Amino acid sequence: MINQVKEIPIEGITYKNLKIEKKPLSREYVPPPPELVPRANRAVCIDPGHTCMPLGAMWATLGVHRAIPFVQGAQGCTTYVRYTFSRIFREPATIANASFHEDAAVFGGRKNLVRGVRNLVCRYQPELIAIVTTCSSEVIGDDIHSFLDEALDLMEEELGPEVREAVKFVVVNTPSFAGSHVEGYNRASREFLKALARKSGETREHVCLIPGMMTPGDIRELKHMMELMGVSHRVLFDISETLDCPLVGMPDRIPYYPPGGTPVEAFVRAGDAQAIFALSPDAGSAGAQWLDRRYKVPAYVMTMPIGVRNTDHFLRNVAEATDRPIPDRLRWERGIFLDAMADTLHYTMMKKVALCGDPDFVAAATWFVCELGMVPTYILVGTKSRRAEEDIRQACEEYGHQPVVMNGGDQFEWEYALKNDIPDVILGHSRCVNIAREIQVPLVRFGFPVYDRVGYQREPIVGYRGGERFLARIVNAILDHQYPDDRTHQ
Amino acid sequence: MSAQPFVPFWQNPCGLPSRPGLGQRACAFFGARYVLGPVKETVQLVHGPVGCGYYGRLVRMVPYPLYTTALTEKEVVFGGLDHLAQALREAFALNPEARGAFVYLSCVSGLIGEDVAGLARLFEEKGLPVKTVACPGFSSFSQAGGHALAYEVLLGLVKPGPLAEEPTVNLLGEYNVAGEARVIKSLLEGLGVKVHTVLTGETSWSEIKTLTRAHLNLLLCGSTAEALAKDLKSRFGMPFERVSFYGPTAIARSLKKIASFFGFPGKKVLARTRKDEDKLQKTLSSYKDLLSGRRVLLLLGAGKLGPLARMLRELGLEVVAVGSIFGREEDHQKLRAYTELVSDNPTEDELEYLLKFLKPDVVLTNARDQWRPIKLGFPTLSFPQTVDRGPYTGYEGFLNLARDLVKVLSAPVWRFLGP
Repeated sequence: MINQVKEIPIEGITYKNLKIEKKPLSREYVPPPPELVPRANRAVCIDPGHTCMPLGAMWATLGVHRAIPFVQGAQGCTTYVRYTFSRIFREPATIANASFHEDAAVFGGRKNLVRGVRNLVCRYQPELIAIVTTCSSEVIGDDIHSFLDEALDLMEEELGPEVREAVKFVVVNTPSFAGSHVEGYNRASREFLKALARKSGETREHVCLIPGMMTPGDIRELKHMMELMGVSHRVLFDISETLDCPLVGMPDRIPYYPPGGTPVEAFVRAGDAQAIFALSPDAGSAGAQWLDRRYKVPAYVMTMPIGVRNTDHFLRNVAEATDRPIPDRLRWERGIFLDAMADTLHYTMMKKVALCGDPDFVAAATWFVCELGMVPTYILVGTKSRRAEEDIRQACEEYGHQPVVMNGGDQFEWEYALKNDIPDVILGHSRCVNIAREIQVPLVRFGFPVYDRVGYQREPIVGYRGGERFLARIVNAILDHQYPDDRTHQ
Repeated sequence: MSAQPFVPFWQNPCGLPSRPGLGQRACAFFGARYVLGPVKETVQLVHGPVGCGYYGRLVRMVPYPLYTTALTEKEVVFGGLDHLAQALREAFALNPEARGAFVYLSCVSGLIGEDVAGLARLFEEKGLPVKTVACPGFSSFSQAGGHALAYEVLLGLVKPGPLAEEPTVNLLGEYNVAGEARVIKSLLEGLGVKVHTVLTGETSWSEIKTLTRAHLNLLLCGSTAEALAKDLKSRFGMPFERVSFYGPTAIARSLKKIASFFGFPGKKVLARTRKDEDKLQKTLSSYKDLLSGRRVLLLLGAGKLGPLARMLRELGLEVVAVGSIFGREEDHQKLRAYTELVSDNPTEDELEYLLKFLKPDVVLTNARDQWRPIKLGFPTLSFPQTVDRGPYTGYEGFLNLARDLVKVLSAPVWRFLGP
């Protein structure tokens, strides 16, 4: 109203005489044209729910011992990803880049790859280099395999034949216009196994796990459960000891490599495994299914073990695959989880919750919030995924909810829906902070990326213990927001 | 300068193409976003796959609205120009208050070779100004190329116009990192000088259009905005002065320069700066014992290195080595006054060698490189990008820097290191 006043209502004095610039006091809220709200009606994408493929492939590679992703593209493709990783993990991450300049755009990236790989091998002595392509190299049409052959020939001449044995190479094709970071991880899981896995014929009693884009804390929780089961296991792409490491001081050997990570040997022996579990159907199932087809290793592709039902399902499958009973210790943990759920049901029952994130996380979390008696209202699946939508539908059918699922939408449409139908709590990643503040609803952070909290990457949300932590996080957020202090301890 | 131990260190000269496989540089799009991100009253749209739009939203850790065409395989193969036109129309419809649009080209749109400039002309005829920022990632050696491109675009917006009545300046190359602009503005207000706009930390489309209202351009970051200052001088006859508000000596010198340009009495400036400086020295004296003689390693972009080295010397620290990411010869020349070990685009292992052999007491670097020295057990200070730590500019900023250095150096955590 006051923004529309043409002149100051004092006789004879105008803005011009006062020599002040006329500015509106506050920006008026202009609702967007309703036909432009759904993502499907728009050509323009506003606050996308996913990023591009190379990130997923780099994430996977950083979970391998002494492995470096080599990004065949322009320099920004690594800068932005390094920035993202450093904010999530607060850890150094070595990512190399082919440094495409204009000559590479014109003549192709052959020279960049050959020189870059040589530089890397000489300077960093890695055990594995994953060549991650980008949109630019894919549009140019770089023939990575022949470039790599040439690089290896030249290095053999210069450094001797042992270089072929010392360094393994994996090529992951990740043009970013063809999918999201989830798909990038998925492809990396397949390409790593394709390039490295062998079957020796000996039977070995161990299972492989492809965790997907879980945090170090989640992976540690998976290992804990497998240890309690007494199952010999190997986590492929294990970032728990590469992107979450102790401060040690100056290492004897330069450059610094994190002490952990999945050794290359574990990928080679994956062909002999008893079973392979892909715990994120959209990030990792390709690898598991390839191994099943090629080496007849039974693949179990299942919803991420968040919540009671999903964890039960996971452990039952592990027990079935390895023929081992579920130990009492795990039953104890399950009991504590159930106890926590029963204790806090008044805070969670019938609370409206909106979810946002990667398909694997969102699908599993939908099961979990349904188990807590919460009502999912708007679910944004950042990357379009049939499987996740199916999973969400199944969960909501079982518990009798009818949420709006925005499969592959952008945050704009999801946020618009939230503004018009305000939930009690939001489960989402750090990019939901703005909407949570705007509608004054507590945000429980989970999934990818969480960069504005300290220590989230170390706290598990999978398994029974992780579920209990996740539940506590959700309830505490609701308590902080909705209950006066003196009522919380009754 | 004390005798340096032998260091196996590659001293890369600046201005060279990056060595593939090594280095920390970013792309032209990153640079263009760095400059244009905060410009208000605009629609900003990336014509490219979703990643560039996803990451590009954050500039110096602050989110600015950014639209993207999110190209898919279909558009890459059959051309995405219609898609872009549609996206632009929608973006304008969603932002009725926007006065114009910037369209960034990404690697993909650069490679498939679309006539985006032609499309922009069509929009311009309809009265919707659209400026193309031709910044495919590969188009320059580092982000510096993107900075230059962005400023060229901004120069195209400037129109000649009447001068302001009171003494007015523009700040060029000031990005308002952690609220720097507020500090500089208050310093200038003390002189009685108004700030028309801050390029590009706090600016808008209409303020850039009327850039010529100001009497004087103050050039703060030479490595990004120097070309703009020179072009504004040759095209519109706007004089410019190089100034810096990093450290008390530079502040006093800069304020004197500005005062003499506008013909203000120098004595008044002198009295003011002396008062502020006295106040500063009183607080500083308690820090100085801890800081003097400490050896520091610097690794940052380019423009901030010179002023930072100067400030550190004023605090009594010794700069032992400097790595720039996209330095120019002038920057390196200045830095050689502090140390002989100056390199451009050092790699991570080169940085580790430096740490191992020089054993600096403290490392000063940017947000994304800070975790490596920390992991290796070196007190590390990252350049502030959030308001909570405060800027390093002005008198209070100098104090902020000293306090931050004291914080990282005297943190008890380092005592627990070692066997």
